Amino acid sequence: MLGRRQKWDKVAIIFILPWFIFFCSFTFYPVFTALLVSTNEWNLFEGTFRWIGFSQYLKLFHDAKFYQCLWNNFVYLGIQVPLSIFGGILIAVLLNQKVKGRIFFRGIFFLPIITGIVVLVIIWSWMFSAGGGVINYFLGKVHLPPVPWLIDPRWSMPSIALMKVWTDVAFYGVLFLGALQGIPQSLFEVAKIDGASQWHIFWSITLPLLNPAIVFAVIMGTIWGMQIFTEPLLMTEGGPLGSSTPLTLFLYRQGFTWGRYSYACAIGIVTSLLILLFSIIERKFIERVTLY
Amino acid sequence: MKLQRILTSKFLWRLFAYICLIVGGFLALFPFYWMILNSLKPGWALTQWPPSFLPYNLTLENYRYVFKFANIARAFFNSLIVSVSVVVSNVVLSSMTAYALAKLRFPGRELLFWIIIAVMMLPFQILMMPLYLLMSNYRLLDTYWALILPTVVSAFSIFLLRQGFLSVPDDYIDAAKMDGASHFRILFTIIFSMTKPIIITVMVINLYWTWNAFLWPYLVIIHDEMTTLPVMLARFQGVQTYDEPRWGAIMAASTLTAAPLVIAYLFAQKKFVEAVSLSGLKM
Repeated sequence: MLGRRQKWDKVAIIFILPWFIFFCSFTFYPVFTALLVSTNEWNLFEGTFRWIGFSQYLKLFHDAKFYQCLWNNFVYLGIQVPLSIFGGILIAVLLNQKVKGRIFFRGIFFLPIITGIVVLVIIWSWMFSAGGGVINYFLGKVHLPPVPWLIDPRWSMPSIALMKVWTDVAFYGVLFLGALQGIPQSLFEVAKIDGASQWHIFWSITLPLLNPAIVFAVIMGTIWGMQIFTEPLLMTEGGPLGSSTPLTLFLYRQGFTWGRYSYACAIGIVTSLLILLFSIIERKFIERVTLY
Repeated sequence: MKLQRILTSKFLWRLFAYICLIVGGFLALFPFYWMILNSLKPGWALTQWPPSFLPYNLTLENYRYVFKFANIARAFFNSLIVSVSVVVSNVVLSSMTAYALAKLRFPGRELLFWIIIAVMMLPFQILMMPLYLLMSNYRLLDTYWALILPTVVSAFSIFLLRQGFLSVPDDYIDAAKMDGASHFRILFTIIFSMTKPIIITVMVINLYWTWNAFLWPYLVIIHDEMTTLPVMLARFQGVQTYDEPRWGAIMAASTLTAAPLVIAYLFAQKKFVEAVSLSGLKM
């Protein structure tokens, strides 16, 4: 803390000013607007507000559509987060071996992350297509029946989740690789001298030491998963039968397609609070489970 | 005997690792190969069944079609203007706040830092509707301003730069002050030259985000002349699949959209991987 008589750098005001103006206009003011618009009926033509209280929130909590979208987010999270973390650990363990071409393989695995999501979504939409899609062609080659990827309500969200495992897995890989390289090499050597098998080393040394990184990955994956928008919008338009509409697409439809500003703001606030709530719960839960 | 066992198990393990890596590499690359290959196939070969996986009868007709029916040069130019503006403004403006947080003494510094952390965690969903209404009220929809302003300074850039600036010893700053250098000079000459890696990281992260951004540009851009590359691609695909999908042209447009950043990535792989992995910290 500053001493009472200590001088402070007045120039700091000038240094902070640009950010402060930005913060007031593009963060604080919009959040304030969200609260205002969600609790008031806004007449665009007269520019007047009429207090409607929390009726939009009540409406949301009674809206079956909201729960369906939340459920869609859960379906996505249930598939995407565990699979990409599992894949990420695999990539990290492989790249942590003394194999040739590690940088090369890391570069290839990371390519989907660098490429913009719109490009990936378009390639995959085509590969997923039911009739002439290349994925169903490969399935046919190994004598599996074709899957109605994006056109069946039961498959639409899992398809998107699978594609997102492919796009994000290297991200988790690099995250876990960083954590692995932080583990002192001597630990592995001692275990090897004691005659522990690779498998045993993995379960009793690698995995427990990766724990903090896994907690972080689960939270991050959840936050990202709660925010998915582009993939369902461009791959399925949220269909069929709303089976792949996540919360953000729901918000978009209400606010931007139907012009229900109050409702959209309420959805935005509730979604943001849910994201916050989930990350807190997950942190508490996982820390309790994995504390040894 | 024992030595031999260890050797064989090690050999098998290594073999297994290589097989996994090669299969993984194939899985990661195949969609890109498929995109480029099909962008070069003539129209009749695209609907061929079974599909052909090797290059045969390659043509540039799809690319000609894209250049004729999509204003891809304009979209590239828009993306470039927006990305360069965001990168430059973040380096200049975010580093000013970061410098104040790291090296200047003023009341409320801790509080300011916590506000920045909180802003970093704020989901975009809460801002989406009000920010759009704000832009619409000030008649900024369909302009570069709408694309640039919401990311002109970012809490995450400030956070990263602050961590970097903290590593510069105070002695350097004190010495420069003795010589009569202003804080601006200290920041933009001494500090910048000593923290180049983090400055470049911040530039790469902002370039990566802005270049690939879809949701916000999709909301605020209405006319085709103002689209950035990803939005142009999404619209082009929408139009092309309306009656009879021209997948060859769509794949050509996708290839052209992906190319600039992927080429940059090929030249600076290490920096990109490092910076983009770090960007995950911004929840």
